[in-house]
Amino acid sequence: MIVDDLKDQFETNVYGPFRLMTAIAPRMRTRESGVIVNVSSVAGRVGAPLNGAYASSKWALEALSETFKWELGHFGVRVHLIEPGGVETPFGDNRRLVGAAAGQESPYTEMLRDWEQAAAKLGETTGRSQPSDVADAIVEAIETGDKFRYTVGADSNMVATALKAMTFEQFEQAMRAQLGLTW
Amino acid sequence: MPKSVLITGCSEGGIGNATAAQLAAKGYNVFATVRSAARAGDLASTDNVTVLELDVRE
Repeated sequence: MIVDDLKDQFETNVYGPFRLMTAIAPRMRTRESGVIVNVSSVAGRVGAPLNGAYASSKWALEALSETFKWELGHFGVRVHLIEPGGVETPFGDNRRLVGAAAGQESPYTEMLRDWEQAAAKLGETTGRSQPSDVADAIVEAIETGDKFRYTVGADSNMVATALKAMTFEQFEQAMRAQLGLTW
Repeated sequence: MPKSVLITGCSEGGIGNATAAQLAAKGYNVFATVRSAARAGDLASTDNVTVLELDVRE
């Protein structure tokens, strides 16, 4: 990954939402009404290996959303985050892969293979959500809105529950055991 | 007056598309943005939905 890859990822996942939020915020403040729902990811809570661009962009979106929640909340505007895990969408076809993931010669090729196998095995037990499941959470955030973060899917729920109950070191151990990682 | 909602990333098969369809069915006035209008799918002919071309990177 080079810095331009990271910038491109931030354009879509961070600067895009930032532009929209700052464009709409003045009207919402004036009306003292409005709801902003940002679609983050389970990757907005954990940094998985070989997922640096995506995960860091979603962590940034989480942090921006949290600060906007405080700031706009003062004016009666609500901000929410949605954190899906794997969802059955064309996401996999649309993403841009670089380095080992793009089949280039890389010191990370073996790690990538191990990680993808482990993640696929875990995915068989947790399954994937449908786009409509995520839409349900977004509608709930808009219409009820009693939570700041909404997780979607067994995978995302599992991560959120584990993060709440464990230190980072315990979480890492649990993930390594769950994934059967040998490194 | 129905509530209005702007949803980015509404191409066929994705989360935004499903969200636009649900909110439109509930009576919201939906503005659904896609990078290419040709990929809006059923939203192009859905009541309460206005499809707009928008790239959040620009």
